[in-house]
Amino acid sequence: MTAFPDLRRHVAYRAHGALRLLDWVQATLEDVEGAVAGGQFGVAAFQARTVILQCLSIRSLARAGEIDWDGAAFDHFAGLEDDEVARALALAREAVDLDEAGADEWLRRLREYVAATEAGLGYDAPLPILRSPQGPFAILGLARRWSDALEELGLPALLPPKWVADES
Amino acid sequence: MTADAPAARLAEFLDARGTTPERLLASVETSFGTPLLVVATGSVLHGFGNERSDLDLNVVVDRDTVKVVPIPAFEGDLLVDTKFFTVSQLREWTTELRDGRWPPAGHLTRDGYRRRHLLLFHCMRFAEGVELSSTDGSEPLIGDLHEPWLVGRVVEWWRAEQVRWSLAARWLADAKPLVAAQRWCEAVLAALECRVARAGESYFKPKWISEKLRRLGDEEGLAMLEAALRVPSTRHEAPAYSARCEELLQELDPHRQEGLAAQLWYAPGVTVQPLGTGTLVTRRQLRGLELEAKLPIPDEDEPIWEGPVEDTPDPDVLELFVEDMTWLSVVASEA
Repeated sequence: MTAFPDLRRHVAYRAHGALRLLDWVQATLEDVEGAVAGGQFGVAAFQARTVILQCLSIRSLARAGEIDWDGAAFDHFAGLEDDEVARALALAREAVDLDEAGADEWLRRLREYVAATEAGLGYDAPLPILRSPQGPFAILGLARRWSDALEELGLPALLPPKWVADES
Repeated sequence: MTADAPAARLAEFLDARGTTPERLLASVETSFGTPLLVVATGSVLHGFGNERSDLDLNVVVDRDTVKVVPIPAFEGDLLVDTKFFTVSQLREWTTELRDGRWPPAGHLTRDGYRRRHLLLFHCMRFAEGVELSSTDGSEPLIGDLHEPWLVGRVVEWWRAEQVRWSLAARWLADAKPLVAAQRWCEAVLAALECRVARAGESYFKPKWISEKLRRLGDEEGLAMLEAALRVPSTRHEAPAYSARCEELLQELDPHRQEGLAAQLWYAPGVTVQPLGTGTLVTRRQLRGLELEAKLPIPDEDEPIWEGPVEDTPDPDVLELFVEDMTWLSVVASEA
């Protein structure tokens, strides 16, 4: 059993945090892995910052973070302790100085950070990989799992906006 | 880059994965309509890809409506994301981009921003992709997208974005210096995108900025990128970093703010309730803010504040911005 004082915050974190991880963090981490393997350390540094900010924003959703994250004043760090933010941003900054010798060890720590972020969401099993043959079904399953609770609380549904937006 | 270079890169990429353009074409789903035009796109075609890169197919179909929903499929280990478009959609988008400078004058909402970004993204992909198949008469569909005005629109986008991010950074600096530092980073990244697009590297994917600069031989730009990505990790480090980013922006585009104004709109999910002589503002009832001043009731047709980009909103409106209760737009000043 998990007890929590704020139902809206709890549901926002578990549901939208998982979506953010599936829809953005996984792909960005893959970018970093591909860039490190290909010796594109500038790309790795660029996307490392993105991964870290995305992970911080997921952790922040449990405290004081916002669901929509495209605003110019969006605060990836809302409600997080200074030390937690500092450690994460330091890991992102390390990527600027990556080279062949240290890249694998740094990437291991980045993966651990992402895994810890995912573990914090509290799911029984690892989240499925969106960019896999089963991925689209996984995200639909996640959306279905949370749809009633989100609707009852008046929080946004889970399907990514790009999947449902009328773009005509 | 020669016109044949993307096609050669595509062929090499597919060959290394044991597949061919013909097999890709055969995998295109036809239940969304008869394909009139199939264009392969993605980082690989621009010479930026790596072993984890995927491939995108843009398919124009012969029907009236279709959602731009990516349909993922696997060719062996290769992930292929296929998106479907209609003829009228592509024509409308092309006209809108060609005839509309950015940023526009008048009211500009979050929806307007999102639409422009989407149009630029897809139209640039059509323009810079490799045609895998086409039918008679489909050439005019993307012919106009090969004209120089499209790259001009990309330059305009990034130029306005650097102003929007730097304005946000300035307004956040006192209350949230670490968040402000991230906005300064975004502003420098946008300015560098503007620089490389002007120099011929207009691929609309920011994550490849280092590779674009490298291909241009732009050592100065690479040094600026490195400086921007050295983000501060504490509040204490933030002011020096932010000052350095402001210097970089001044070097990159000293006239960036000319002729621009800013607008603030209530953000999605914001509710505003009078509370005595003040106002209670919430966002999705996850967060709230009690202000001593009376604030306007949300109106989707009117921004809550508008002014030259050199100005700063009143303290209560600024507080709304700092607490992420608003959407910031940058628009062209009305003459």
